[in-house]
Amino acid sequence: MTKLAIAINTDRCIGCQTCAFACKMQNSVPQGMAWNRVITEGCDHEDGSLGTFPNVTRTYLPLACQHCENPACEKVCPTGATYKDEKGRVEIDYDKCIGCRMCMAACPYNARVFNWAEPVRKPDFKYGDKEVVERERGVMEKCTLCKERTNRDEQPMCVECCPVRARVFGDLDDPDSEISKLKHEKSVRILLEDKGTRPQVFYVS
Amino acid sequence: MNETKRNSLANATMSRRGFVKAAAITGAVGAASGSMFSTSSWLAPTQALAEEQSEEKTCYLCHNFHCLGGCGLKATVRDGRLAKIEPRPMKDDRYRKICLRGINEVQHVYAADRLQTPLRRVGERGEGKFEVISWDEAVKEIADNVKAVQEKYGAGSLYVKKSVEASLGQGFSFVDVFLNAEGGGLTGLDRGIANGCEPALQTVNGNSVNSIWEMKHASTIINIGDNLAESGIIWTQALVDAREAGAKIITFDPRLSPTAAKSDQWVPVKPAEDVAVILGMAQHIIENKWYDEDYMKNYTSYPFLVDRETGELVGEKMTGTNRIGKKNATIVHSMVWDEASGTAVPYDQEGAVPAIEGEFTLDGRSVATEFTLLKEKLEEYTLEWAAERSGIDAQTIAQIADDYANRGPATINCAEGGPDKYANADVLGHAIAIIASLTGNYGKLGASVGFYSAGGGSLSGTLTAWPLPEWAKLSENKMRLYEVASKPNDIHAAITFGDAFTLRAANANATIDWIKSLDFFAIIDIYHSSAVDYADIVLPACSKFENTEEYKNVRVSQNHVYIAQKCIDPLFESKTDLEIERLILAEWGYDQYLPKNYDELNRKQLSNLKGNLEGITYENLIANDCMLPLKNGDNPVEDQVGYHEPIFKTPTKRLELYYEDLVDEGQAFPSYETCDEAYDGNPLKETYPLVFMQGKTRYRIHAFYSSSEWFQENYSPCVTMHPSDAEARGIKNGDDVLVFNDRGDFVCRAVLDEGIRPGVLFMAETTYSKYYKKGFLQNVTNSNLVERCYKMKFGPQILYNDVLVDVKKA
Amino acid sequence: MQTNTFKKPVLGVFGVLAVIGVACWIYQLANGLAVTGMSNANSWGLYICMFMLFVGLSAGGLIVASSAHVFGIDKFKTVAKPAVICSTACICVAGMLVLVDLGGIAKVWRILTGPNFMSPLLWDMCIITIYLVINILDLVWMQKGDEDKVRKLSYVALPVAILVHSVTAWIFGLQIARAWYTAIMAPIFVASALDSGLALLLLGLILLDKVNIAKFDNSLMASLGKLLATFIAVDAYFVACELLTMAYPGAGEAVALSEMLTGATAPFFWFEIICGLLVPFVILAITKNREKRGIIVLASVLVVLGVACKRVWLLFTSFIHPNVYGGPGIASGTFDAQQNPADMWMLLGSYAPTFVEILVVIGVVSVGVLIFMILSNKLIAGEGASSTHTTKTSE
Repeated sequence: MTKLAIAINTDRCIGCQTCAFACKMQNSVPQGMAWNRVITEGCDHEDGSLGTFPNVTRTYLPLACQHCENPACEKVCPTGATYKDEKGRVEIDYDKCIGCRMCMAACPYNARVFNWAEPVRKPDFKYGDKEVVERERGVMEKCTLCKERTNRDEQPMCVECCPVRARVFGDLDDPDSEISKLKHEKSVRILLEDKGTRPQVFYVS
Repeated sequence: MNETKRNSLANATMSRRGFVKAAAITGAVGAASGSMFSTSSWLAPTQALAEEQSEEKTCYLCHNFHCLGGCGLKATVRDGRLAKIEPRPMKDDRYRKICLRGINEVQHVYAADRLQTPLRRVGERGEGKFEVISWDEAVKEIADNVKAVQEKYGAGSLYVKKSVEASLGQGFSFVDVFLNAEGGGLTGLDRGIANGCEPALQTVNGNSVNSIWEMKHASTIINIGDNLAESGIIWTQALVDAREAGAKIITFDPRLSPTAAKSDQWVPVKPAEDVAVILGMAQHIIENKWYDEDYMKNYTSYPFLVDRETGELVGEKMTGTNRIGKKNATIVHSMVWDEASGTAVPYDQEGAVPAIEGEFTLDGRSVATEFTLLKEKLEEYTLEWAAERSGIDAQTIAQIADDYANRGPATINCAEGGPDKYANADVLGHAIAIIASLTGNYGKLGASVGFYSAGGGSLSGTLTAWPLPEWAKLSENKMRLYEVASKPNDIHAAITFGDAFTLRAANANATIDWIKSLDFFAIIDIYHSSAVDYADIVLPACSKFENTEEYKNVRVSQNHVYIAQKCIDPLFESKTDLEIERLILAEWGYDQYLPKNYDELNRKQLSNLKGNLEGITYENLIANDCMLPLKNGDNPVEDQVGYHEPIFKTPTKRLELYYEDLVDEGQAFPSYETCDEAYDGNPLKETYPLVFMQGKTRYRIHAFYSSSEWFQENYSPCVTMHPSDAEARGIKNGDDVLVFNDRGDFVCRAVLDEGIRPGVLFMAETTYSKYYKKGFLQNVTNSNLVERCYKMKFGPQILYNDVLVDVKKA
Repeated sequence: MQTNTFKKPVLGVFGVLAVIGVACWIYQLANGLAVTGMSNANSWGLYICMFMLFVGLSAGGLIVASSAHVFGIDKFKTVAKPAVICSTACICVAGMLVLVDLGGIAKVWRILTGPNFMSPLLWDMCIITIYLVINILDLVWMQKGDEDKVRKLSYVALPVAILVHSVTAWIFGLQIARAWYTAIMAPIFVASALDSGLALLLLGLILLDKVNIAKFDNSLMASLGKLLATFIAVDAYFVACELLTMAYPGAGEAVALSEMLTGATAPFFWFEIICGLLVPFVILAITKNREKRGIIVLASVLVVLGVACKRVWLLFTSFIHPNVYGGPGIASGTFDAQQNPADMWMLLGSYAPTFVEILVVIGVVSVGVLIFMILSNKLIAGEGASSTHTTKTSE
């Protein structure tokens, strides 16, 4: 079996947003949408601070689909448009999506974005990967774990572009992979662990 | 001139959406004249291409010159459009780099703010009303006006500056030299700290001579106002690696910058008081004898004798190259007190045992060692004094001094920003050199000082220059750009490549008044930047992704040589820099001296290469996908560059800490000074109680990327302030606020955050003025110049952060 | 007995509203759901809110009608037909509201070709269809006077009615992502369905009586009123259970709770507690009051509005605070976000219906009203005068 996953080292992450824009470009994500974003945890603005001057802290948290082992979104989809694929990725079959947004309510991570309107792209052509399919109005979309790239045995674009190498991509079912080792060696944080979704994207420090 | 065309672009100040709308209305005219008014309409014809038919090609180039990143990019071009940008594979994976600024070029190249055609001003300067003209008309008008001005006032009355994206670092600049124009001389910009540390530490324009990759060998790293995580984003990996390897990262900054947030310790020092902390540390290090006496004796000038009365170094005066590279200068063959013989001997005398401290009488003169003088000087800079000035408590300063002196190799990353932009930056630079030399934290693996946002030291390589006739050179005046508004000058016309004026001068209202007073001003730019509105003639340049030929921009970057492959044709009616320079100089008949095309220039630049570039040719560069490592480029750069032994390029081969030439200024050793305006105790604080400082944002390189419609989703001009300052003024998060002082004002959004020192406002420089509700940030900044810096290597810096303002709800 | 019908001008008004609603829906189809006030942070709006309400409203009718047979409450049998008509109209409205909420209605057949039986939405669509069929069969058999079949059907109808609300509740109650995730969601839905459905039935009966389509005596009204008071009490009890469970741990859902008690959804919450539960209960608890139709109307209206408010706070409170919170927030994906880059991000979920949405809902509800009126005209009017189904009108 294959269980593709991403580990994000929050000690290394500098909140530069490169992964967010890499994703937008690679996947031709339209204006007003984001598959991947870097939030400043607990703050009402980017680069915000928690606490009181001068005792303040800040955590940058890159956030996208967590490719859960137990995906809440998959279960609730009435047409099976959302599915867990053979490589352990959570994917969407855009042709099957009827736009009911059950999955959107189900995802605890707000990882999904919906094409409420006709997508607007700037520049107004399909930029990004040639194989990525453009989504039409009325369907759900989200991080595919760079399905097109990972199918070609390339790293997801967010991993490829991270300038501080805070991201590690790999197969959790391969005990010798760097990511499997990281999971055992580092202190691991699972987002909303109590929800029982068992994310395959996890945070190490 | 076609009347409809005139109307269509009559008001360039209208909003972008308005602009596109107007373009749609006059679309027919646009098509007829061959000019397109929006990227949308321009892209339309090929929109319908079916996916299956699409053709992809891969192009390689080197990205930005101005963020000092210079990443090797791999661009995918599909159906003639830039579709994807990613880092190119590199042998040393650390150089496989890109950041959000590289990625966003996919949008930015096509941004709505692109200048599309040559324009002629039809309204008042600054009003932004233009009409579309042809290239022939535009070039002729530039030539006619420049000729008229130069005939009347002389060649030096023309000011030419290349800035930001347009051309900088592309290896040529012809218009300025062929027209014998004023070129601005040394700028002083970003060299405040360097003025103070370079003479002692032999940094290179303030840059560390050691590679940033060496940081992993440091035990303590102190960032003084540096914000690597937003300026030289790609270099932050070295800092993060160092932290992972166990280095303690300490960052001085009045705000919790992203770099400060990734540090082990944030030191929220009062603006411009970093120097007080460093002086306090120096005093504390001496008091606790944490200094490295062996190092001081053998590798520094501390044992050198100084005449108490005159302040002069004792020793034979000779002529040679001094420590700031000035040839035929007076240098002193210094003396030390030999403890063995009890006499003064030349410092380099074999077998001498120099006294590090002491007062002696020599030929009836009272002399003392430099170290003795330094100790006396520093006496008053107690921890308590430093704490009082800096707002950082004494215990913390002592702890930082301990970490710096006693934890192992320590590196100081003092940047071009932050504390560099106050009037006391040179004192700070000098003080940093003092603590480095006291503790021996210079010239060892993991112990260095300097600016690291360009990666620190790297392998150098000089390309072959295009040969110029001897008469083709700049005017001798060397009038600095930031002086033109305040000092009498003879400049009457200007041509700038990019927005030089609003980026390279403070107190923008004065600069703009000066621009308005010019007889003629032409600008060549890619985007409709702030200065464009003041120009009489505007020429559209293309980006580095566009070319009419296959290759351009040979460049040495990050220990590699790159050449940029053409990705797409120049958009709209834009032209390459070389084409533009050729067109302009053709009006004088000088185009015969210029390369006919990039191919010719590239071949010249890549011919007869020596040193680290040896063996590199145009052919093998292209055969290797436009990139080749410099000689030994396969070996880690940190092993090849920098001071790993404490032997330096000064005349004495030692760190020379005593600045004899600044005795009159009281700065032979660093003497604390407040900054010009932003200090506690300035009476002006009663009127303008807040310090206004600027820094970098990840979404800009200066104003570049203001046009990015991707970045506009995440960033718009905003000023960060502490909630207590906001509350006192009835300001809430997200309110529009007016920032003002006597020099001017501007309006932007307020962001309230606990991660900034109360009493300080922070704003990221800068954004085209049209994206502000009113004005823009340089309206309030300080254009005073520090007189003593004229004696220094780089001249006075711009006091961008030495600014007091107040703020209120707009 | 003199009987009457709903007049054409009245039907016409609702017909026009229905047409306007359809027009707005077509506009929505042409431009996408971006014409609504929904966004990526608040992904369900007025449609789903009203869907919850109308599923509930349809309950009262069928439950009263089936109880008449299942529990042998004879006096309820007289209201069985209007009750089922009311139920039918409401479930049609609910079904239509789900459809107008879909982003890709053209692909709705995908549910048939590739159903995911794990999806509560699929369960709901099935159960609603079954429920509608039962309603229709009930009407048909009642109309034919086939008492036996009606009685037998009632044994099926009652549990299905309970189930339809439970399944609707599970659409929300099984979502681990939101504050809806609670076992009591189904009982709350059933309780709300009982009181709001019965209140609506009472309003329907009084309306039919008022316009002389059918006549119902005050004692029937009084006993239904008493039943309503009981249902209100049950509803209030479940709400109280849920609130205590949310509040007690003082963690996690405390944020949502404070939003309900003092925040954005507080007006809806307090309206429901005071005007939707407390006031009507107090009114109906007094025997004398139950004799007065005006008071029953007031209490019923309050109950329906109260439950409507409950749908609002129940649905929207959960969208306000994302589980993983931080600036810049969630990419909203709206028209505004497309047009003005500065409007891209939403830190918190917020929502206000647009005119288009409101008009679509009015249109859909109007269709429901038309169904109720037309079926009442066809099936009830004239019944008292003759046993034929000819709808006589005396102008």
